[in-house]
Amino acid sequence: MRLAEVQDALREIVTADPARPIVSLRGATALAGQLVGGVRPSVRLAVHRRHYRASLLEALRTKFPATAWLVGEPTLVAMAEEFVQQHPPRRPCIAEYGDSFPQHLAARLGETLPYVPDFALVEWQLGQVSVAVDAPPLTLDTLSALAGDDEVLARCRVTVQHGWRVLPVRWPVERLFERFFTGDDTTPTEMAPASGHLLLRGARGEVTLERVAPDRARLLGALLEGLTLAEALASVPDETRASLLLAELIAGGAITALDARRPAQDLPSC
Amino acid sequence: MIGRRVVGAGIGLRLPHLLEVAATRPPVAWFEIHPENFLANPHGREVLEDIARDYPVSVHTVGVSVGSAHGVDRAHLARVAEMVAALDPDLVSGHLAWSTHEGDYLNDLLPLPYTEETLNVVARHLDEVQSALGRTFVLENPSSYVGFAGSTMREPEFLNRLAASSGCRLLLDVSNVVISAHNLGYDPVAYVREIDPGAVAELHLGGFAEEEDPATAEQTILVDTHGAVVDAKSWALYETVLEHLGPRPTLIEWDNDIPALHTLMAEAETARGHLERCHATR
Ligand SMILES: [Fe+2]
Repeated sequence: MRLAEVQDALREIVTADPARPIVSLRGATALAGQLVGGVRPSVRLAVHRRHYRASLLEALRTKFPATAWLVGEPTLVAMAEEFVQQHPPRRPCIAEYGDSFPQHLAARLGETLPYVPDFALVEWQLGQVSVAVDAPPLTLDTLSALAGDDEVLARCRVTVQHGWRVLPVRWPVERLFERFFTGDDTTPTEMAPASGHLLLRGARGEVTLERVAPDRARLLGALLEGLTLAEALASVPDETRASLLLAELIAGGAITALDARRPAQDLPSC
Repeated sequence: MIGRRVVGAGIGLRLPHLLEVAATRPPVAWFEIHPENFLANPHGREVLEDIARDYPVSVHTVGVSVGSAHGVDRAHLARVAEMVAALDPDLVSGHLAWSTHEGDYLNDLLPLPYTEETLNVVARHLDEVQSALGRTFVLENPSSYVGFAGSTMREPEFLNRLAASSGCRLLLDVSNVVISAHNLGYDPVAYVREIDPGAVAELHLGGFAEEEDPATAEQTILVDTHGAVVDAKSWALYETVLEHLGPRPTLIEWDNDIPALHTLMAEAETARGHLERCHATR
């Protein structure tokens, strides 16, 4: 048996539904007579199967404690077991495993608990921003000085703090997070949809989230996407309001650098 | 300490202890870290780099799958290499095992048949890993629950041949020898004596659990949990290992149900006692 065939068989056994006995699997048939270790060696592969599943379930539980609080631990575990079964990791960094778990929740719970997918997606992103490292923010004066003059500055792209995200939501999930963070265990009341945007900010273990006005979300979203300052400003219809919002973002510490990675055309300094 | 040698008994530095170590700078000889814990964690990485200014560090990857028939994950290897370049650890190690298959990452260390085909596959991947890292890789013996009837070499012979052909060094996990010898019915002392002493750069000690053997009635297997104190059988074999090899940097591994830092430090202190006695008698 070639090494690749051995690994095909072992992968099937390790990732198979744990309800299926190992001896019933195609991989066990392929490996018959190939393994040593006890009287029925293939059943010992249950140890690998258990470690694989347990490590991934634990990764999801660690990433989604608030979602577990919201839907209840048994539901979260059942959803996580399905997800692990259907989506083996594709990267060896398990800290990155689970980014598509909110979509799985949307498919499975979206009809009965429609706010759960938004909530889980926000929780995933909070986890991401909580481990960000913030950089010293730049002031408007510093930005102008770096660019040379304001006209040049308008054509520059900027770097936003790595721990800042703008997320569209359809439900007021920030109210649920407030209850989670304050340990309010009362049963969630009826919720009405509330489309809009949340601003998530995090660094070095600390996170905040708040609902933001649509034009502020648009402007910050445009900067995060890598549009130039002028293009981002143009995403807000009222010019005065746009300048005011940008000044607020800069004063709030949003911008850390002129983006040297994506120079605007004919502006080598940006 | 960036660039400093790992000597004596160190402990595995896992995320639950990261901030405590950064704040208290405990008297620990050196730390081993898993790069996979830090690749998606810039804050953790920042704290780690600060710790690494004061302590020797060893980088132990759990995601570079040198035994995969279809090749190592090059994107992952590049991420590990970037981190190794930044930390400049004394040692970089990983396992004689596989975990990636056709893009799926199975998050466990899976067993290999010891054949000429596997030897060639692993040797080729070790060359690739060592050239990506720009340094010698240190290869660890696995803990095994099954072996392969088609193996044409014993594990120590396989490891020795890899070290000779690829220039890699070996990490002898003493507890893994205890576990595999129990599960596969061989003599752990004979295993240790067969290992080429000149190839061994580091030792590991970790906890395991005894369970009913699902394969054989009224028998047990040892399961590599890294979730308990080092067992008496491992300490006894450690003595034999030190007699055979002489003192080597030794790591206490604990990855599940992680206890208070002082528990790990107490285990490292026990290892240090063994190492000092070994030094004194040589
Ligand atoms: Fe180990």
